[in-house]
Amino acid sequence: MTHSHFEMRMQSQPRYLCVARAALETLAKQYGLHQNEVDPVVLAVDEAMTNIIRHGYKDATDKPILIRINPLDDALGKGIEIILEDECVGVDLTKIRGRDLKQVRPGGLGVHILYKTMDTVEFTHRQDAKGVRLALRKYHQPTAPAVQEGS
Amino acid sequence: MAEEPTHTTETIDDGLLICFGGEIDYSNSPDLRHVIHQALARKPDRLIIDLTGVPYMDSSGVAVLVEALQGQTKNKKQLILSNLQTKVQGIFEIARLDTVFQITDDIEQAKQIPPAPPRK
Repeated sequence: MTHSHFEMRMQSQPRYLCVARAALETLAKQYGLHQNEVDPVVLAVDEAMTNIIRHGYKDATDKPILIRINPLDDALGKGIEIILEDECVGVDLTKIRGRDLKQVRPGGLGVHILYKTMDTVEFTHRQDAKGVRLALRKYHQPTAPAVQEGS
Repeated sequence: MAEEPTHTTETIDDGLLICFGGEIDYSNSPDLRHVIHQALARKPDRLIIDLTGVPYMDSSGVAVLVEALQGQTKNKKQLILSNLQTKVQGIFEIARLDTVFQITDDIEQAKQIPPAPPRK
């Protein structure tokens, strides 16, 4: 069995979102992403977890969310992979898509943010059919300009 | 956890200025909504929301601001955002809302924007 470099298992409580963000930010920097690459990754994962809590679990706060994080070093370069697994059953994956941004209205931005910020986004049903697996990958762009510390 | 966003609400010449502080995500965006709804209930001609102290905001916070913009626009009144920090500016750009809102670099600039045309 292959273990992830880093795993977090949290309850579906929104108050833990900031904890996950902090850990992810630290790891993404360790894996070589620049701050201006880290910020969108952190936002994307926050949005994905919020979608699980809000839409998948209907705001129930006692459901599990598993976050697995790995460094990437493959043909596409170095980067970070984040895998989120939940226990949301009966989800129609074909209906997960971003909305038309020409409509200015509250909500519905989460999925758009995922696709806009990450290099790959893969929604699949878990192999045990007990929930949804979301794999997000972001590769470091060597030409990405570094941003100032603290921004 | 992300703490409840801090805020101060101040009366200005033709409206209200709210300054928020702290990270805003799904855990505390209802607090943001509550504060802004209270402000909207006072029907300010100009509502300035200063985000100097907000280093991070996710789409749940942005949704609250869109609601506020819609409320003010419907009443032919103004909503102006000021001092968006890097990460907050980022989500506005990703959501293509940076051209929908009136956004200024600072509060003084926000006060100088001409008032909305009178309601017919």
